[in-house]
Amino acid sequence: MMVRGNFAQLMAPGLHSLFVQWTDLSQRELEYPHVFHEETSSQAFEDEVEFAGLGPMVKKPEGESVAYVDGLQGGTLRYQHFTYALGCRMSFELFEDDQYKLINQVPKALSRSAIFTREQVAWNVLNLGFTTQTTIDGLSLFNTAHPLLGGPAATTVGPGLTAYVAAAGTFPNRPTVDVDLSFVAIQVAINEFERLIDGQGLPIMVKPRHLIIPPELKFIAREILGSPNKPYTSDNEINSLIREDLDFFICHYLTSRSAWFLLSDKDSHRIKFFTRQALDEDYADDFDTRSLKTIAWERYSVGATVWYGTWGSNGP
Amino acid sequence: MASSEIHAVQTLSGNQPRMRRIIEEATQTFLPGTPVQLNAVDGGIQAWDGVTIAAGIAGFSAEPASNLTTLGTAKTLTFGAVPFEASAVNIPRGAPYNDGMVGFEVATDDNVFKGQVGPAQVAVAADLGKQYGMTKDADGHWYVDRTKNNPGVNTILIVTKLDPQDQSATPRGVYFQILTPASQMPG
Repeated sequence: MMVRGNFAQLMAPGLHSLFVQWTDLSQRELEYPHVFHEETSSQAFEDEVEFAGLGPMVKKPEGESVAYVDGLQGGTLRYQHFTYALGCRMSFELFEDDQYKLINQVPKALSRSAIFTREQVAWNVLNLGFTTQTTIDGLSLFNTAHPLLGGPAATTVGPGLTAYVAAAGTFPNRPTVDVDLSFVAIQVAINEFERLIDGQGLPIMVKPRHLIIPPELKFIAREILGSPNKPYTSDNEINSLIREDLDFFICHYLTSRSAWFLLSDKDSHRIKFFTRQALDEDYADDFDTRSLKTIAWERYSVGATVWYGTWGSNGP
Repeated sequence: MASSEIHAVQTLSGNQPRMRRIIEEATQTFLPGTPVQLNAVDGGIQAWDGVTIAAGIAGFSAEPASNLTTLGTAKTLTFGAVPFEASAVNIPRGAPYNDGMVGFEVATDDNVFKGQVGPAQVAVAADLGKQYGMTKDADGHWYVDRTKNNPGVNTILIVTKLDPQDQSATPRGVYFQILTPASQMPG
């Protein structure tokens, strides 16, 4: 409860100015929409299922029957919405005696809390992507061996996979040993995108477009992606990454200072933010005490349905 | 004869009955309206053991337990298997929501609960102000046991009112509060 004793300076006029953090300090623009698919939901949860197609065709000798194969159904991923809420309350005496009409702006601080929480929850998909944030295959979002629905046969189909596949029937979107952001590390990651296959082993086109980094890596990213020539050498080679058309995006909600991520455009990944109930607020007076109460709440869920279109390294 | 679920029906303050929702212990299969307690080691919610009188009850479950495999870890109904993806699961359409937690109406000094006396017992005006214990019925629900009437030994609640909705010839409904010493969360 906010009462007059805690805001004694507001009880008398004469203050030259008030520095109000929740209105005078700017908040960053929303960052998660840059990466996340934004969808809405009208249910308690949303389930998503993955399906794999068919493998390559086989030669049919004259007079013999065509070979018949089956498509495959994968697992299910559930997006379970949670409610995030916060409230504040103040005595009506404080509300009335505030000489600066500051207290009636306190509810604005709730929207800042909501925005931060949204960002934090959303970006934890990447923050926790090396550990507890799992995709539809049940493994961490960034993994050195995502199993393919087609099994070991799948990695015998796609060409040139030997250098990338740690175990038959799997494909990585994380280096075997985590590496720092570097010119070579990006090239290795891009190569994995180039060799990417679907669940039956057929090559697919998924291009990395966004380098997602914490603020501490922005200078390195700028040097690597912005240098007209190959960075960190005295030779006159071109910067071969320029033609990859990568941009870098600084995320201020990444917890690691060394983790970095490559993501495709939204059409090729399925990192999602489901809004079940957009931010709403309400207020009321308590009948007995006349206290003023304000609350704000919203409901949403986040996750990554599949790992395709994502790649991550948790620094060294 | 069966017994009914026990739930908070009113409060002394007039506020909404206080509820909490915290992690559920593994292997719990209790029904809604079951007396529950906090596990002394890890703080998870489990069915009341029926014997702990001092600080033994946290409240009454507002929903059924989920028979979790692991303390506080969400468990969702699955079927079959996914080829080559041992960690993936198939979730049947409409499988119940689960988050590894369970809600319960807290045994505060403010919450008033409604339950029934035993299947072979009758609630009478003389029960008002009396302390009783509780017993688990054959159907899995719990009832106010008029035979457990030795204060300080086997009682956990005090009857505050006869259920005005129970107009049968052998009424069983009672309103009661958990005794402060018996509650794990009295405040």
